[in-house]
Amino acid sequence: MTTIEVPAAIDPVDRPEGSPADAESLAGTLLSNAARISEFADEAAALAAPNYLWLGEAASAYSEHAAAFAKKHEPMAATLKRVARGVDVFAEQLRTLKSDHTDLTGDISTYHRDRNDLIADVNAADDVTEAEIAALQERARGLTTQRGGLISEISSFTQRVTANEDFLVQLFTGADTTVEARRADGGIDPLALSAIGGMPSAADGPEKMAEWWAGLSEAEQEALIAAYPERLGSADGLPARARDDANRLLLDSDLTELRMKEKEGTLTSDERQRLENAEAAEEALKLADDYVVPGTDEKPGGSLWLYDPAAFDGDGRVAIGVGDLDTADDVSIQIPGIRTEMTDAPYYTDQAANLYESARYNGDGSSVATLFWLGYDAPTDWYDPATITEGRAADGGERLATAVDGLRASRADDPAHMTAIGHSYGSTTTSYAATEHDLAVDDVALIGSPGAGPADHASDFSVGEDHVYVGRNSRDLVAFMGDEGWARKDWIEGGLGVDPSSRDFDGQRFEAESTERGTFRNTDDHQRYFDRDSESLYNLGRIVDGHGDDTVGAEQTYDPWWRAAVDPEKSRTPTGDLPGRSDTGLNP
Amino acid sequence: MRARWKAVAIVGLFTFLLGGCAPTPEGARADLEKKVATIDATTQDLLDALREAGLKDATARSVVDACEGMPDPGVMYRAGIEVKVGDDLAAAYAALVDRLDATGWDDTDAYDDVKVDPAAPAGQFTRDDVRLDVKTGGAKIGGEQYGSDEMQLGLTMSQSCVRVPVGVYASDFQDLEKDILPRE
Repeated sequence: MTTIEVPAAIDPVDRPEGSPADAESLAGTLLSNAARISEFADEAAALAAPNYLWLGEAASAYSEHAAAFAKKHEPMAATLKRVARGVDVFAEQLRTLKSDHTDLTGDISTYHRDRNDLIADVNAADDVTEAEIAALQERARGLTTQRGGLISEISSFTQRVTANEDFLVQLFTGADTTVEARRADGGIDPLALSAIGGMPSAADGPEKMAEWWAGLSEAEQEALIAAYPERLGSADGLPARARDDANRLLLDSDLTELRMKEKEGTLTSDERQRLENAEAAEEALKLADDYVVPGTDEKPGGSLWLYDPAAFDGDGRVAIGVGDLDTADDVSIQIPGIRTEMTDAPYYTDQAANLYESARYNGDGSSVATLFWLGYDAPTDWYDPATITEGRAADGGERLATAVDGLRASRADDPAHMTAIGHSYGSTTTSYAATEHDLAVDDVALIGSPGAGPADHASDFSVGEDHVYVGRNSRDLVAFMGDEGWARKDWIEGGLGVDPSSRDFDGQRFEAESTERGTFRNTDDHQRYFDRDSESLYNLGRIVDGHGDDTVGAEQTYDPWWRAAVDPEKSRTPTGDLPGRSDTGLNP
Repeated sequence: MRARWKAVAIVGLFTFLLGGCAPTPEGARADLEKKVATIDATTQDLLDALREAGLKDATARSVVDACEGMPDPGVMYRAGIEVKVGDDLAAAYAALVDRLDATGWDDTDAYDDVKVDPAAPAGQFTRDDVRLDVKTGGAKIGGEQYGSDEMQLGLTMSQSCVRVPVGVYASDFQDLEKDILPRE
């Protein structure tokens, strides 16, 4: 008699208790209350300020009392805000756990179905051959292995559920007395308090940051994000997912606080700007989160890689990604130009989505993520003196190189093919990064460029001259600012450098004309490089996909001494939606 | 010194060009709605043409997309038609082209230099201000094949991009997006 050892059944796994939506609602209420206390403290601080209309002992006593009141309430507001953010983290983790529970329960059901089938077949087996016995034994062995894997998954799942619940308990018990609430570290999980001490400084470099983060447990990471989102949201070297989690907390918190103040009519002008920036980030992030590649069911998802609405005197810093920046085979980073502020984030996120679509549609099947990055202080307008000089581009170039180093370090074991795409003044910024800061990308594309900054030749770039691509619409008025003929940089104090589409620069120029181009040079044609079904977007998609050598080339501009510079593309008929030249996606 | 004046002139020119003709939300919507009327009517003409070509059960959908970009953003309205035509894409394409010829569409020379698989033909046509792109056989995106037995038609207008004020997005015009139904 042969024995077939059928592995044991698996007990059902308890579904995590609680509702993510209710927890988020609680977080919102706590944030509102934190904002009220903060407002109260601000008001008290204002009342404590010297008032020359009211002097004397009573006034001093009042002022002292108001100051003490403000001092007591500020940390309470900060603690409550931390608790609220912690509840948000708990809610997000609970949502993930519930989804994982559904998957796990499904896997257990499948296991039981296969197990019952095996038992039925064993019971029915009578007068079976050796081969049939071997097959039954093989199925039993397979089930045993499957069971082992499931038990391990259940154990890990249960630990995560417990850790999340402990996290919430710690969050509330750490701030449930007046003394705790008034402490600078009130509401901070002890796990976070001990882990934050090891956080490297930005000066240590993104590699150190990545190393530190990778050495933390999941519970420590979660606690840190809840407690210190300001420090983690812009920490170069951290995975995009962690930055995104931290920045979304900051965004939610800002929106709740500032909208409440707006409703009550107590917004200052700085806060109004911060609210506008936060709302633009919210709109842009929604675009990225909800984006579905037209004609397909592909939903790449969005991420808030950088969020700093008060930076640069209120212009703000922001970066929003489409696709998974932590795992994509191909990653691009778009650097915008003058007049770009944080409130413009939705428009650039649309462009990032178009670029994603183009790279995938004409791509080799590799995964893609596109990132719109406004991490530098772009000049305010054409009349801004900063526009005809390169100071902002030089500073932005360094910041861009640092951001790319951060992206690289966050996935050092799984390097992506990376492309930097600089548009307008952003192309000058990109040139600085690639010429003076060893920009760690594989390919660079300069579009609508008013000049390549410090680079005289494509070979000056860190990526090598064969990997410098240039798109220039022949009617683009801004591209006319690059050195051409009489308007040479060495003649003008200021100016933004050599036109990268020129023979002198010798980059890889690609077709970038638009079917809608104007008759004469104009600014509309400066803005068509990311339009769907355009030559430019097609070629940018090929570059992002890692096939820059497959772009449709265009003849470079040149500058005969006897006349103005010549653009051979001027007389070519542009194409639109044409396979292999300007087709960037399926129809709606 | 002469060059400095030229630099100042360039900056002044940009300021002048960018300063005028600021769009209003109402004006942008009115401009876009004119294009909507043209695209919708043309889409219905094409649904008729497909039916007459023996290609049944076509579906049409319109969308509002962002176009151009900052500092002067815009939106555009376009439509797409899908129809399942089976394995013989070339025969279906030929039948449609006959109807397009008969209804005033001109074949452009856009595909003259493009290598197209004869079994999955494609073409570009114009009528008045509308451009029609016809493709067959779908596309492979990220390893997944979409619409291999389909013909896809895309409709756009020339000068399709309508300038919108900063702070207005394509999503503000979502009410214009719809399934376009054949005429009764």
